Amino acid sequence: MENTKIKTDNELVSYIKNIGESNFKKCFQCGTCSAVCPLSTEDRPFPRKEMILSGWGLKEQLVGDLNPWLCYYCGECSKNCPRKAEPGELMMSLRRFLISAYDWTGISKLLYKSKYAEYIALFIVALIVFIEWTILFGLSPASGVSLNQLVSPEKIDYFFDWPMTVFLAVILTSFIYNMYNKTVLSDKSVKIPIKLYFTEAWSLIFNFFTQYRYAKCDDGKEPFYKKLMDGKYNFWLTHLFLMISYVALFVGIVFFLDWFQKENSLPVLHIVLFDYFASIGLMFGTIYFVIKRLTKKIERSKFSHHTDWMFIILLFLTGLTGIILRVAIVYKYPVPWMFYLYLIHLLILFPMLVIEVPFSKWSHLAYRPMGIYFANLKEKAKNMESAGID
Amino acid sequence: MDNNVGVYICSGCDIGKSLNIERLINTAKDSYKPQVCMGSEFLCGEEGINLIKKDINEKSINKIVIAACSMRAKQDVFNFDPLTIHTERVNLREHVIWVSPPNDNNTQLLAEDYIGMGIARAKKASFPEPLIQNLNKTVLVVGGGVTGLNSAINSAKAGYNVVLVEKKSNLGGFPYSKYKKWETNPPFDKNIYIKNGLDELIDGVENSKNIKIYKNSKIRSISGAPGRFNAEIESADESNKIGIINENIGAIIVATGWKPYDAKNLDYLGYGLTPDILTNVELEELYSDLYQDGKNENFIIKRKSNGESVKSIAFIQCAGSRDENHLPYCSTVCCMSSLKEAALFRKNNPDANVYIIYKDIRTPGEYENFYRKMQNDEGLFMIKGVISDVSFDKGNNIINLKVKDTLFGGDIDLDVDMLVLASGMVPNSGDFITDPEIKLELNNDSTANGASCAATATSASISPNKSGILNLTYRQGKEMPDLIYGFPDSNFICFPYESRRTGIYPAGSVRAPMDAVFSVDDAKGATLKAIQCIEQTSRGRAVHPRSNDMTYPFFDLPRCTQCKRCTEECPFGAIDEDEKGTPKPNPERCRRCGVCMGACPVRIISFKNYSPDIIGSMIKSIYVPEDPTDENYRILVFACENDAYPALDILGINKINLSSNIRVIPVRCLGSINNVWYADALSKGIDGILLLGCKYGDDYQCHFVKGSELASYRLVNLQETLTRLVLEAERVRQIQLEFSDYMKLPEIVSDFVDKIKSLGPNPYKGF
Repeated sequence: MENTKIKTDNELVSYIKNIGESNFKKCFQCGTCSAVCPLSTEDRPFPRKEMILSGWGLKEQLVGDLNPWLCYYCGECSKNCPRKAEPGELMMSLRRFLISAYDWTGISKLLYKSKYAEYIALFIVALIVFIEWTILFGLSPASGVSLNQLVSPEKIDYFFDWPMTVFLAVILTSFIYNMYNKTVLSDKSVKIPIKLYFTEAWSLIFNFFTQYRYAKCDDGKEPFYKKLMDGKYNFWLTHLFLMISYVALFVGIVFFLDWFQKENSLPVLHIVLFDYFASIGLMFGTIYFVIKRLTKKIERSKFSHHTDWMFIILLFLTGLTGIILRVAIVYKYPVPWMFYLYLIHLLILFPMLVIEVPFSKWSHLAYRPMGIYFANLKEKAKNMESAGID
Repeated sequence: MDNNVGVYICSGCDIGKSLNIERLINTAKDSYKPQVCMGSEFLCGEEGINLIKKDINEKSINKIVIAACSMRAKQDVFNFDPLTIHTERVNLREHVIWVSPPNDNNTQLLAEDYIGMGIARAKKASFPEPLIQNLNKTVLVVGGGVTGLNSAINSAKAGYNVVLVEKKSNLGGFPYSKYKKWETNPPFDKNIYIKNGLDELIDGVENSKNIKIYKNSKIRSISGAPGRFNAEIESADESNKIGIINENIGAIIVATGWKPYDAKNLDYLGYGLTPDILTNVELEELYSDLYQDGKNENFIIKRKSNGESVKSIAFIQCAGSRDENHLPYCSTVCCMSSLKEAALFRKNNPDANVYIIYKDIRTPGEYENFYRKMQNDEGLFMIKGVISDVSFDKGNNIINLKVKDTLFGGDIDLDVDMLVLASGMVPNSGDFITDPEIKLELNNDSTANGASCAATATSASISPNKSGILNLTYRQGKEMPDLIYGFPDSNFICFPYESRRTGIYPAGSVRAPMDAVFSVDDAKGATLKAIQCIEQTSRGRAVHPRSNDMTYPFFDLPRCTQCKRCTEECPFGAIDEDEKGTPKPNPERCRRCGVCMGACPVRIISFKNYSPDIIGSMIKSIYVPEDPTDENYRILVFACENDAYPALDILGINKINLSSNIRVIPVRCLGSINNVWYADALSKGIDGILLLGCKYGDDYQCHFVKGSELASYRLVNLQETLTRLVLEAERVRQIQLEFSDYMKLPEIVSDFVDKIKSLGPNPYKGF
């Protein structure tokens, strides 16, 4: 076997150190973390391997590593680490690092490095939204007209929602291709048959909509309902609830905005799905995570990076302003109120989507299922290869 | 000398319930006719003690036999002036009633025998006449490094005069010329600590009125014994003229420190390929030079080969250490020193990457804090693995390392600009003499003496072919004997700071690899030992391990046959000899183990209360029934007082039954067993002899270093003799026993008893 040429990179080590609170340098490779991890397997001994890769700053290996996406931060490793090196937190840091590594624009790296960069980025997007709004709708609403006449859903669609959706789609796709290139294509040790991409596609969809790996984070022997009753699935279910609510609202607003601006005669489905289910999901989920991050009682929420806070707060505020706006529309509040509420809502919503989705925390919505998908592909392909050799 | 024996039998602690005290008193009276023989219910109580004191005063009793508990118990109570009263303790409690069935005839016989043996010994024993002299109390400290300076200042503070000999022109020793040391105060997590404590210490030593300092000096020779050493010091003055000064010395502290392992032997790690490959000491000197050049701590380390800045540097830990082909031991300091050097490097070359390639990081105790701190440095990369190859790419001026067995899951390649080999410590304990004549003479000595040569050839024996540090005029060699790897250490478990030359105490890194912090402690320990030795010796008392023993061996020289066994076998080199080979004993050097007494074939060596005759009469007082039934077998047990005897006591305390066939005689050391005792016992009809003594070999636990080992070699000779007398060699057996092995004793004893029973009774019974 060829020796691995070691090219250590202490800049990278400091970067990873700065985007999280792991003491990964303290690791002496005892392997306890991998042994206690419910998700780690013999072929994928994370997070032990990631500890040494990060400790030495081996960029090439780290960028091609999919394991951080397979970890859901149950915190068993951090709890049991004899050096208090926080391997769980390292996996979190590495996810942040990977987000910045897949991003070819370099914006993510800036956002993770400095909270001021994040503030500035958010401010710039908000400023653009404000200017656009001023040009399209002005800043003083005419009296005696309805909201739909003042702020037409078509204009919002054409000038706000749809360009942004296209922007997000294009840029995220390019990042995912970058990820695919760095983790699958550049890995010469395995070649994935085309057929496998289709046969494994179900896992992508399944994982996206169920986040089932969260449930596997608890490897206790109790039956499913017992764990459910004991609250062991609370985090997973809340996370899932929040994600589905968000996706539902996002899709709903982008494609059926005029419904949201109507105060009556809506389909029952709309009222149940958006006005109740998704609104509750958004509020409940964000408040739940804020409380967890404030109390720091569970391993997952022990450490919070500034991007974590920014994202959860923006999401909460977006939901809150959206819901107030919706209430105002349904209960026919004075139109100028709604006009300004609408503006405030957009000033929060757009920065969040444009900055957080591709460049920051929210991008895990795409990377996580893709990571699991790619890891599955590689594993299956390797199994097929070795079966073929035998 | 009057022999007024008083026998006092205690019936407390259930002794009275398990034995017929009346019968014991009557038997003792009938057989030995002591002046006083009485029972007491509570001998260690005030009433009992007063009883004895009254007899001492009124009936002039001077030999007291106390048949009660173990001699290890109630020492404070049965404490009579040893110079006028002999106190003999008979162990009826731990060795009789607690290990045998109560009210049994065999138990009763056992007790009777022990009382008889005690009386026999008391009758023969005489009173010690301690050698009280007015001795010199000066402490000689050899070496002016950290340990030496601390020893000197501590001795001076304790009120003793000190002579300090240093070979260099300045004090401070090895670290003085170096740049920085690591933090030496808890919690040991500071990166670096500037050397300044040493200057304070040197000032203190130089300004002390009690300390006489000889710089540029060496020791030409040391003769004498504790309290009357004479040191010849060769001292060079400023014009390099060498003068000889004689100093009278009480005790000696050897603090000669260490030297780095010869880097020429590290060519397998690339040493010599390029000037960029250096040892840890050379790097330290480089730092020191760079600092001196600019008087500035912010120097940049450049490559020696081309003067360019260093982008990466690797430290190879255990370079030539923990390696059977080089230094088989761990030098304990290299891990910390490499971490410290790495910290300095990172501080001054912040862009450089530092790699530490290690087998294990050994930063004991709180030093771990420093290791943890350094681990967090993003430019420091710790690589656990084994170096498989070091090569030098001359074209690119790059050093390539191949590391195998890494935790990375495979072998790795590493390119660095600079390489540091963290090599270990070699003790400054003298150089080997290459003079063939001396060797020849020593060889002749050894082969001339039969069995004893085998003993001296083993690891625990002396290594007489070193010189250059102390240059002792001792018969057994010029330097301190090595324990292992050239370190003149003592046994690692029992005797910290002890040595095998009485009154001479190695301390610091010459004794064992250690750093400055540990050396400071070591210096304190050695100082206390030296003072203890001076004071004890001047009072005529022994030092460790037979502290306060006032007897010393007496040599009846007119009967000496000049066989040289005593001079050769003395574990402490206490006995010199003249040209003819007649021993010249030095009682001040003696530890009173009795190895010489055991060695002497003509039995001319004896102590006042311990001699071939005294123990022989104890053996002769044992009643050996002639009727060959199972319970009438008699096994004599020689138990070492240091480990085996306490182990028997512990067995008693735990009330675990032991065969009643055995009769235990405590001995100072198995090495003090004279072959005549075997003859005494076997001719008396004793069926077997069991020797219980300490472990010997590399990790020996013998309090007298090689007593138990010597006993085993003498046994080989003895067994040949037995065979000639048509006695089975198996009748004598030696067992190595640790104190904690007491639970094995019942099995050891019953095994041996069974073996003897299978051999049948001693055919000499009844002769």
